[in-house]
Amino acid sequence: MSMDLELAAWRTDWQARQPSDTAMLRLDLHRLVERERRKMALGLFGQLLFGAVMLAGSAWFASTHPTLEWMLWAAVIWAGTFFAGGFAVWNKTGTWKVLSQSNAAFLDLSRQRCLRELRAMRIGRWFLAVQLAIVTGWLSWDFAIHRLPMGPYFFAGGVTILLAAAYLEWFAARERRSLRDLGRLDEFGD
Amino acid sequence: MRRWSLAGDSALSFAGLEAMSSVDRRALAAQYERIFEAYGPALVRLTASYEVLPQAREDLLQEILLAIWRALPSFRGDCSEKTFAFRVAHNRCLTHVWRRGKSPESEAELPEVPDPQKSPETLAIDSRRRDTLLAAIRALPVNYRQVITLALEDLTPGEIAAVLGVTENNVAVRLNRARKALRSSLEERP
Repeated sequence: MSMDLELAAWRTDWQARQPSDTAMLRLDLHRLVERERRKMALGLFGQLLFGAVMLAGSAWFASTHPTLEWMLWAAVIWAGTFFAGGFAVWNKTGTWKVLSQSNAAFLDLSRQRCLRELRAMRIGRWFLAVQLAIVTGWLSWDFAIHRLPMGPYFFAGGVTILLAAAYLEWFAARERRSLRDLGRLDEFGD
Repeated sequence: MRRWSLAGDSALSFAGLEAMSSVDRRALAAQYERIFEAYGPALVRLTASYEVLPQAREDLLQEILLAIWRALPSFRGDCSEKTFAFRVAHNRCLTHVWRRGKSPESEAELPEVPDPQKSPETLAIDSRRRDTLLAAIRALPVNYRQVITLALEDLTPGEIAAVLGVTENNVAVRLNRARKALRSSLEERP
């Protein structure tokens, strides 16, 4: 068989496969919303797990170093973790289930989720600023007391904060883009 | 009143929803419909060459549909709609392969519409030959699979080069090797 005939035969066989159900070629909002829900659940689980590790780690450290300074640190970490965990759970309430099985309801739920994520990003910025203030204050005090070189620690802290801020901005931009895409999906209606 | 609005939230205007008129959105929706009318079945076949499991295949298809919808506003007509759709789809498929890692071994059928003119025996033989072809294509390395699936969808070497972002010479070399690999793979199969 010549090369061209061979390719033509393969092409005929390949293109003979046609989807029997053209409905599968439509954007399935239900499916997208459900996938989002699974991602949300996984994300929240990860956050809570990280929080639990922070709580356990700080409690262990404070119990093995029972000084006022480390007890205070553990208390700050506990307060911050409870605040962040509580906010994460509260911020997602009402966005787990769709109220009706219409496209409009799925779109509404997706928008609601985007808006909640944007709210989380705004709170995240404040939370980051508070953390920055606490860490800077504590490091300044600690290094002044112990007369330690501050440069490397501030550099590492600065890089960490910059990365966290960049992540927040990237995530917020992604959510805004999703929100814009959802706005355009209105044209599909029900 | 919009149920999903959060009090005092400026996210909607920030996301630029008001920037796009309803006329523009309708034009985009029409363009989207046209693309899927023309290339939808080809995209279904493309996903079948990258994913064996039906559930994951449908998810991949939905990801492609959403990615095309998202990319559509930035499409300036510097290539054909066909090239645009396949480029977006191939990028999603590559991401899918990268995320998924090793492909599962089990195979599932791609839905097809039977030809009423043919006898059941002929249909069975045709179906088996198509299944073998699909399995052989799935077994090819990704860079060969890309060119062969596009060639089987009637894309010219120039269009394939535009989709994959390589030169036409590169396409010719890859296609030649892909055909050899596919031929020997088909010969090894019962």
